[in-house]
Amino acid sequence: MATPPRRGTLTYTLLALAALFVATALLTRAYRAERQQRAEMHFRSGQWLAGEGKNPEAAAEYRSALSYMHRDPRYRLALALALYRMRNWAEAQAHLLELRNADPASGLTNLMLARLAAAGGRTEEAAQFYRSAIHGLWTEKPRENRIAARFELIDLLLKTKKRKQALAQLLELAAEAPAGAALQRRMGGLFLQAGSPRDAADAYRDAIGIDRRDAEAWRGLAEAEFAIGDYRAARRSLQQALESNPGSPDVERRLQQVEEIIQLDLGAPHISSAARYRRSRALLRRALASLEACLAESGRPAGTPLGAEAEALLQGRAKNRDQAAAENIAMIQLLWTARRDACGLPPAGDPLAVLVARLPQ
Amino acid sequence: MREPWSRMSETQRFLLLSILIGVFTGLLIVCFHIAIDFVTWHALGSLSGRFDWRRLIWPVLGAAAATMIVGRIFLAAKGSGVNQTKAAFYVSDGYVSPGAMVGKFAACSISIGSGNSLGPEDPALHMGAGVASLLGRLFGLERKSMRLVAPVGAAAGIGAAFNTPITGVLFVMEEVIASWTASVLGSILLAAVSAVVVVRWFLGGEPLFRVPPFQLRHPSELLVYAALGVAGGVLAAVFIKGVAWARARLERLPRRAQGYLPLAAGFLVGVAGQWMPEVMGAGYDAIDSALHERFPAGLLLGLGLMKMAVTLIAFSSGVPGGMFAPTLFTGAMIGGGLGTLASRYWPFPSGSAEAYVLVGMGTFFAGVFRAPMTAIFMVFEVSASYVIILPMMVAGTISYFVSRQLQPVPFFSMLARHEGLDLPSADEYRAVESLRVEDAMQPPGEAVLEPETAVGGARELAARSGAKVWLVKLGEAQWSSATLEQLNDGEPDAPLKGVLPLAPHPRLYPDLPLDAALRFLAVYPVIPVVSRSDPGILLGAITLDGVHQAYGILPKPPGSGQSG
Repeated sequence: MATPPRRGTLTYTLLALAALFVATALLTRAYRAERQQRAEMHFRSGQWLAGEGKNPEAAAEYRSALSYMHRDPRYRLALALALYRMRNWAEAQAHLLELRNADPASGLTNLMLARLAAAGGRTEEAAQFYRSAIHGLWTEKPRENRIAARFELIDLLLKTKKRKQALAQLLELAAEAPAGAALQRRMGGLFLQAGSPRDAADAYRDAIGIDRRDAEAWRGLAEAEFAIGDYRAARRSLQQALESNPGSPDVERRLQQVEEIIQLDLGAPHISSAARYRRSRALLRRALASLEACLAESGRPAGTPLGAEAEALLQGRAKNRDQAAAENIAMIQLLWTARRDACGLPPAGDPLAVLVARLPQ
Repeated sequence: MREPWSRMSETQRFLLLSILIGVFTGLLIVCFHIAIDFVTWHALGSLSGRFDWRRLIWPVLGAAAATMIVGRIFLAAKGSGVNQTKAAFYVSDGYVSPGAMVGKFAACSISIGSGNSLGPEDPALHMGAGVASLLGRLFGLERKSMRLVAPVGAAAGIGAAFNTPITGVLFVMEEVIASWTASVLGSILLAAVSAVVVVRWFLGGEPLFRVPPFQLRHPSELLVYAALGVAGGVLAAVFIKGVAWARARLERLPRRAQGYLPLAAGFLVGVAGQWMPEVMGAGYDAIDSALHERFPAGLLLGLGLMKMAVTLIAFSSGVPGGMFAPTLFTGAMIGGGLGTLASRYWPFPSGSAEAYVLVGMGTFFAGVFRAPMTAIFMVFEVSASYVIILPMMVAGTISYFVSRQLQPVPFFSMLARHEGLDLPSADEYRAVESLRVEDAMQPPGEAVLEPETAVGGARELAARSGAKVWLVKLGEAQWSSATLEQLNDGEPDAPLKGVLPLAPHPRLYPDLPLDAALRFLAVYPVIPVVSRSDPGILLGAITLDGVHQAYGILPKPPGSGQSG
């Protein structure tokens, strides 16, 4: 038989419950405070060590901080960054993915994941993370960080020969980037790499608009104009670059090449028959010299029937200049084909290559 | 004026008390959790990095202090919490000593907090049972309710410790009460939910582990999970046998030497913790790390085996603490290790290692504790992923059967017998084949009488068949009965309906347990057995003799007749 409860049992029990509730609340408060305090202590120590470049020691401190407050994203991010610097990419990625699960919009987390994916050769994944970083949330300097992330993405896309995607990113960047000579110069260079010299020229002009004595911008504009095929404009830009930075050997060499192209360009409009003939002979001589140099370099016999034919053309006298020029041009193309077969083509931008490419068909 | 309490019915009181038990237990478990962390922080600091002298000293001191508390001061706190709760349920009418509660709190906070490789769930379960028992006595519950109150508290305790109410309920139903038909289910649910709500109130609603999204990438992966099940089952059996072997051996040591065993166990844990600090304490942080692929395969397997070894030593030497967390740890690491190897070498696409960590956890749990349902739902509750159910069922079931095959005696039964108790186990119940109505029923044959049949005709039939009792068909799906004595008393020409009372008898179905028939056979001499799809179809009849024959009390007749 059950013993009936004593009078007031329920009341006393509820009072005891209330007392235990209050005691637990106080204990929990003290517990949380101590946990937070211990975690912060390790975090600060980790930051100091990371500042000293002691990444393994910093990582250990961040791990300790996390063992107290394993949900605090600051500690996890700091640990991931330390691990990234230690090139412990697998664990860094595990932490970053966890941070991303908790906060998929974090710009920094996505950027770090993008870098890890890029380092691991996972281009598509990296591009995806870069895009998330660009459109993500940044706690500090959001505009600058987004632009920097986009630049990294463009670099990656260009490295992996995805020019169209890179160009799309560049156009978006151009639309949102603030004024700044360095930024415009950088964009100009990337536009050039992405195969859009007109956009590159615009970017360089913007940079020049900010500082007319910006030699680098003039140099870049010259390259853009060169790529467009406007050699006279390129010459002017290079001259401006030299004016701003006199004696630059690189600019001088490029100016010389541009001069050479302008003088020998058979594709230039409105040139007389005499000039065409003269240019074709000069170009033929160069093409022959280039082939012979190539054959010598590759250890093959120098005297070829084609070379002999070219020599004969150069030796002969022209009765009809237009016809002779046409014969010269045909021979130049044969020599260039032979050179390509023997040694490959010289790098793009080489004056001779540019001149041959501009030969009238 | 009477208190509202005394105006309530016993059922209402029990339900209200279940909520009180849940809230009290939840508060106690919050304090227990905090106490363990405080001890860990002050004794060991953060368990990261290698080589720390504190890890050598504190487990020894902690083991010594905890063993002294349960060995000298609170003797009732000694032993497995699950078995103590089962003993309260089966043996001592729900009595759990308050000393057990206090002793478990103090001893386990110190032993687990100081880095000994044991878990807080079993003590939490015991404390919950203690709270429930105390409140049950204070509120003067009847004897029947008092018996049930300890499991109610146990569910609150384990639910609060895991922060998973379903797991708490299932474990108590599966292991402590060993029955799925218990009427106490509502109270257990209320207590477990109340306790978990309190824990979440104070410590936050975050689950035990942060589980990343999981997907089964290829059906062939189930083979890998099956292999994990086999590995989990074998390791579980090895573990149980190891504990049994170690306990038996260590008990033979001189009494004086036995006193030093916990210290030696603490020292060994400390030595292991120099290289693998993750194995110290409950190890939930390490499981969390494994779930996020922060360990390589070799380290995962190493951690799993090391944890198994140090837990075996700590538990066998009598350091107070539970086995749930170490079991989850071991399974998680072994699963993670195998999963990492599978993701590298399995020829078909396979998921990330974290899924294997999770499934491994449940697999080893199912193998050691023989609670496959709890294991499956625990993993489901922790991961909140439906996709994981299928791999978990495959691995958990295989592990359960492999472990049972290799080690027939379940873990808690082994411990109980070692402590001199013979407590029932759901796993052993499952192994016993229960008899059903169909095992004892006789086919109806020709001997179903009509109410219009003359008594004389019925007597002739009786003489021919040798039966002592018949069914009398009253109408569609209604039968009564007639006994030989009743026939002998009637006029030969009189119809049966004129002689016999012919009240309709209850019907039985062939799949019902045999004890359902026994209740009716005390009142009726024969019960019709009918089809569930059509109660008008008579499948047979059951008599007391038939039941006796089914149990082997009477020899079975060579032919079949309606009556026994």
